[in-house]
Amino acid sequence: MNDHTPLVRVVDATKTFANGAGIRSIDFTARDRSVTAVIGPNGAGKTVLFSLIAGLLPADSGRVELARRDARVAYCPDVPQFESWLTAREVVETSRAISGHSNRAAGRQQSTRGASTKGAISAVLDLCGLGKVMDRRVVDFSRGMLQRLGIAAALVTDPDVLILDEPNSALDPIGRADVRGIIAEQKRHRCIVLSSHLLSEVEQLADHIVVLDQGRVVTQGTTEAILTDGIQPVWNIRLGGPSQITADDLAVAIPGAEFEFISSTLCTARFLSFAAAAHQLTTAIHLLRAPIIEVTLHDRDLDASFARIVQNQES
Amino acid sequence: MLLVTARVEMLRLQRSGLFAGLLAVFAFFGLSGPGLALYMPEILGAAAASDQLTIQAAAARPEDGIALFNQSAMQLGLIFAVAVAITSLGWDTRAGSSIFYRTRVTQLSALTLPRLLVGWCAVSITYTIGFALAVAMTVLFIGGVSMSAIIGVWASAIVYLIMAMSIGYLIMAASRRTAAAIAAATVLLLVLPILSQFEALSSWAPIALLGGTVVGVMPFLSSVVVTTLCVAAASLIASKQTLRRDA
Repeated sequence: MNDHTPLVRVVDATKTFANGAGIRSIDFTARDRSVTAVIGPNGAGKTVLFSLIAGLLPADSGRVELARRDARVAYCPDVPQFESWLTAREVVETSRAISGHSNRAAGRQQSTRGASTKGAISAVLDLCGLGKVMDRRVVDFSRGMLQRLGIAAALVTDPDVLILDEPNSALDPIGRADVRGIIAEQKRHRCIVLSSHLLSEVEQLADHIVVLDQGRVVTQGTTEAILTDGIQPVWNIRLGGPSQITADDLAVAIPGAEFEFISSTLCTARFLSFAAAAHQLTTAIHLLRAPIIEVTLHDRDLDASFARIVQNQES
Repeated sequence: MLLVTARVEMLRLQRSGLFAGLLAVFAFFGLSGPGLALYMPEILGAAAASDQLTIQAAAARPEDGIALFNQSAMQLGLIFAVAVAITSLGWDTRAGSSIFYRTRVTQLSALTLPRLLVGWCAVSITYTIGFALAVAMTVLFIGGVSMSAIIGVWASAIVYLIMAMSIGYLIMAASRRTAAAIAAATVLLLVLPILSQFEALSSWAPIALLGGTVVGVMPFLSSVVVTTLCVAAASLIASKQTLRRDA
């Protein structure tokens, strides 16, 4: 199978519960060797969708298709739980053994390449930062350690599709960076579907984003497309010192543009269009007559895009 | 996979203290039951010593030592044994651990049955140790017991324990709520002896297994049938269930 071919197809899937929660008529595709992020507010239906893909819940209508009949799906929930009397090593051993793991992992998973079962288990625990505590019982683990263990237990099964439900919600910044590195590495070997409320993380990791709200797909597309969808030609210009010109003088000098000084060193410039901005932004920077520290497109981050998309949906 | 699952259950029983608890319960009654039978006349006499009331109890017979062990073991020990079977499905009551197992196995019974089997073995072994202690104490302090009586009581108790565990296991598989399953199973097992009050049922109802040293074939058969049905029904129910949304 070629890289980036669709591996998971969710076709018009609906699953609702008595309390009204659930998902309705969801369609999306997740590609092999890429990261598809499903984002949305709490209760949007992300976990229900993941449960459907993992085969934990049947769809009321529609279907989930895997491109390969033997494709293995591993699902790491947002709060992984294990039998507390087991050690981390035993959890991963059990995961590998009961999932009917074959040696196909040896050629695919870098962490386990050419390794024996014990070596593979140690390698995946090391990869997830649990190498030093692999013989400690799970009962003593923090939530962050449980999340790492959940990822280790999923990876050791060498899944074709790895579903990570908020994989870094309980992690400290170092832990988040570690998990980000793991996902970036694992994306080379498998299809990853994840959710996260940390949109800056999603922005860095995801190739494709599906936005859910109230059980429906609000929008979906490449990360770049989602980031720029509905974005305004507004820039933040951060200065190294106070400017020698006022906002009104700038507006007079550049017709059609609007300027506002948020502070003495932060100016917001709004243009009529991106085409107009292409010419006028450099003029504005020249007229400011102050050291330029940073010029950034206003609201060009996933948090802002997400807020925009959901607000548009509600209005 | 069956061996891995069985190993996980053995670790659970060992590390959670359930095996030690079972052993302690059955061993305690194994040691105390015959002693209680031996000193029963003195105990009753002291308890009822007044001018108005005097109780005279016959001297203990060897059968009394075994019977007193079984009476005690089949109360606390039985509840403990049922709890072992019920908690073997405890992983399915929590969404996180349920996902862990349900996304990794295709046949759920391959996961659940070895665990039940290990529970049966643990209860049988610990009961047997307690029973052996009771027999030894009885022989030592009261008198000899016939081998047929020993085998009859032991086999009856083991079959009954396994049946009770299977009933609890079925209730747990259906309810997926540990406390509720233990409560329901306990009430059911306390109500079961009422069956022996009905003449038509008393000769073949499983409760007859706890009746004494002479037991017919029918209670064995009915227990095996109940056990089989419970295990089959539990496996069927578990395979039909999806992830518990409120777990």
